[in-house]
Amino acid sequence: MEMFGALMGGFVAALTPINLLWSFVGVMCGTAIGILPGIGPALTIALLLPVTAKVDPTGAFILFAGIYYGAMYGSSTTSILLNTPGESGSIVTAIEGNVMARQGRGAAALATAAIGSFVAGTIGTIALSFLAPVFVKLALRFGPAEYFALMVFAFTAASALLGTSWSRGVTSLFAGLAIGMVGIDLLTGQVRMAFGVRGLFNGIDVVVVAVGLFAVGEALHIASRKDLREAKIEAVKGSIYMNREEWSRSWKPWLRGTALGFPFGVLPAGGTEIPTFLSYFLEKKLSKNPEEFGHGAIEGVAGPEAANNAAVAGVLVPLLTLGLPTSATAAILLVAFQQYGLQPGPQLFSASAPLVWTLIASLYIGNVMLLVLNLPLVGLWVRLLQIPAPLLYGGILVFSTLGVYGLNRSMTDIIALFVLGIVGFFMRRYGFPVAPAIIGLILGPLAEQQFRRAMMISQGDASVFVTHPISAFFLLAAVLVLLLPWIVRKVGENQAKA
Amino acid sequence: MSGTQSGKRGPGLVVGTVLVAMGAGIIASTAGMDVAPAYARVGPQVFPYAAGIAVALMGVYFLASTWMQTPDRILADTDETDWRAIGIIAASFVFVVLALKPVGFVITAALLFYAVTGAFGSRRYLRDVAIAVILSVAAFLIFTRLLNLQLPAGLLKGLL
Repeated sequence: MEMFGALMGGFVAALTPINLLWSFVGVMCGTAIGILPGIGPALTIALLLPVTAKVDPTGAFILFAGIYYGAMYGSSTTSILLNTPGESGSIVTAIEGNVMARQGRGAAALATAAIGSFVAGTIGTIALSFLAPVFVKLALRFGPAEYFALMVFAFTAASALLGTSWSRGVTSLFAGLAIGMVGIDLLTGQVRMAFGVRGLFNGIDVVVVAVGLFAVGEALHIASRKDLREAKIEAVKGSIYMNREEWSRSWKPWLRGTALGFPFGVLPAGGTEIPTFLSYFLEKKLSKNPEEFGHGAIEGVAGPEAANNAAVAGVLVPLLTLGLPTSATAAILLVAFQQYGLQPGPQLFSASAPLVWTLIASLYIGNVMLLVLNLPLVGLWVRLLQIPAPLLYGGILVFSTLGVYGLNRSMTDIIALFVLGIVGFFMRRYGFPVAPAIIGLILGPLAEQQFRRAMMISQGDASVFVTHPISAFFLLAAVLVLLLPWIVRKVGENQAKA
Repeated sequence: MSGTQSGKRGPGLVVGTVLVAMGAGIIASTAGMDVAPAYARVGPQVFPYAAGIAVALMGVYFLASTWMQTPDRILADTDETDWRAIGIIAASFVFVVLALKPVGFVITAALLFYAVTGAFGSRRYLRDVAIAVILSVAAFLIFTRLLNLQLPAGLLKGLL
C-alpha cells in the first residue's frame, strides 16, 4: 500500500497555498477558454502552453490538471447552451442538453452535468490512482516490439473510431505522421522532408500544428460559412439547485456513465466518443420514459457527461504509465510534459514519483474546485458565450499568433501556423477529422523509434512483432478493430434476414 | 444536370489529386536522402516511405470512389462559401508574416484583429478599432512585462 503514502505525499505538496492558487488559475482559465465556441480542451492547453513556460514543474502540472478538467467542463457548457460541442466527447451532451436549455431547464442541465462530472471525475481519479501502479508494473516488461505493437493498435483505434469515416481518419492520421517526420532524424542525424528550408531542420513544433489545425482552421471555416457565424445562445433558466426528482433521475446515470467511460479511456481505443454514445443509448434503453429522449431527458445529459469525464480521467492512465496519448488532448499534454524534460512512461513513476503523485492529487483538488466554482459562476460563463463572433475569432487569431511566436520567436513557425491553418480549413470543408492528425504527429515518431529499436535488437528480423506474445496480441487486436465495423454490419444483415 | 454532377465530383477530385501529390512529394523527398548502407534496412526512410505511400493510396482511393460515383455526402456538403472572407484573412496572414518584426507586434496584431472582424462582416467599426488597439497593447504589456516573453516592439520601440 505504498500508493497511499505516495498519494498523501502528493496531497501535502499540492495543498500549499501557492499550488492551490495554481489549481484555481488553471480551473478558471481552462473553463474560460474551453467555453469559447470552437475551442476544445486540446486547443485550450496548446494555447496556454507558452504561458506556463515560466512556472516551476510542480506548479505547471497542477495548472494543467486544472486546465484539463476545466476545459472539459467548459466544452460541455457550450454544448448545452449553444449546441456547438467543442470536442467529440460532448456531442451527445448537446443532444439532450440543448433541448433542455430551450425548454427553460438549462440550469438543471448544467447542474447535472457539473455534478455528474464531479462524481465521474472523482471516481475516475480514484481508479487512476489504483490502476497506475499496476500499469507501471506491466509496462516495465514491455520491450520496443511490445511498445510498437501497442502504438499500432492505438493508431488503428484512433483512425477507425474517431471522426465520420474510416478513410478520412486514416488519411488524416498518415498526413500527421508525415508532418511528425519533418526535421532531423534523432537516430542518424539526417534531415528529412525539410525541402531545403533551414527553419524546418528542427521539425515543426506540435503546438504550432495543433493551434494551426484547430484554431486557425476553425476561424477560417467559420468565416467561410455565413450560416455558422451567428449561433443562438440559450439563456440559463431555472434553479441551479436540482430538485428531488432530478437528483433521483441523475445519480444512477452518473454511476453507469462512469463505469462505461473509464475503461474506454484506459484502453487505447479512441477516447471519449464511443462511451458517451453508449451511455446515451444505455440510458434510453433503461429509462421508464424512453419517449422523453430527444425532448430533454435529464438522464441523457447526466450519463454521457459522466462517461465523458470518466474517460478523460482514464486517458491519463496510458498517458502517464506508458507515455501513450490516445486523444488529441492527451497528445498535447504529452508535449507539455516534454517541455519540462519529462518523458511519461513507467520510468516517470520511479524517477519523478513525487511530481506524478502531486499531479494526481491535484486532479482530485481540481475536481472539487470545479464543482464549487462553476455553478455559482455560471452567469459569468454565459457572458463569455455572448462575445460576438467577429471579436471572438479576431482575438483567437491574435492569441494564436502570439502564442506560437512566443514558443521559439521564429517566423518559420508563424508561416507554418498559417499554412497549417489553411490546411485545417480544407480538412473541415471536406470532412477530415483533425484529431487523428495530431495523434499521428505525436505517436508517429515514438512508434518509429520503437520500431527501429526492435529491429536493431532483432538484427533486422521483422518476425519479433509476432513471436513476442504481448506484441502479437496487440497486433491481433488492431486487426480486430479494423474488422469490427464490417463484422457488426454482417451480423446486422444476418439478423435482419432471420 | 451535368453541371451539378461535375460540381459534386469536383471536391472529390481535388482531395484525391492533392493527396496523391502530397504522397509523391513525401516519397520523392525521402528517396533523395543519402543513407549509409548500414541503415539500409531499418533506417530513417522506412516510416516516411510508409506514410507517403499511405497518403498517396488514400488519394487514389478518393479519386476512384469519386470516379465510380460512389455518393460522398460530406464532399458535396459545402456549397456556400464566403471566399471574400477567406481572402481577407489570408491576406492579413501574409501581412503578419511580412510586418511582425519590422512594424512590431502591437500594430500588426491590431490590424490582424481588425481585418478578421471585417471578414466576419462586423459593421461596428469604432468598437472594433477600439478593441483591436486595447487588446494588442494589453497583450503586449502582459506578455513582455509579466511573463517575460520577448515580442518585437517595432515602430513603437521606446513608446511601450
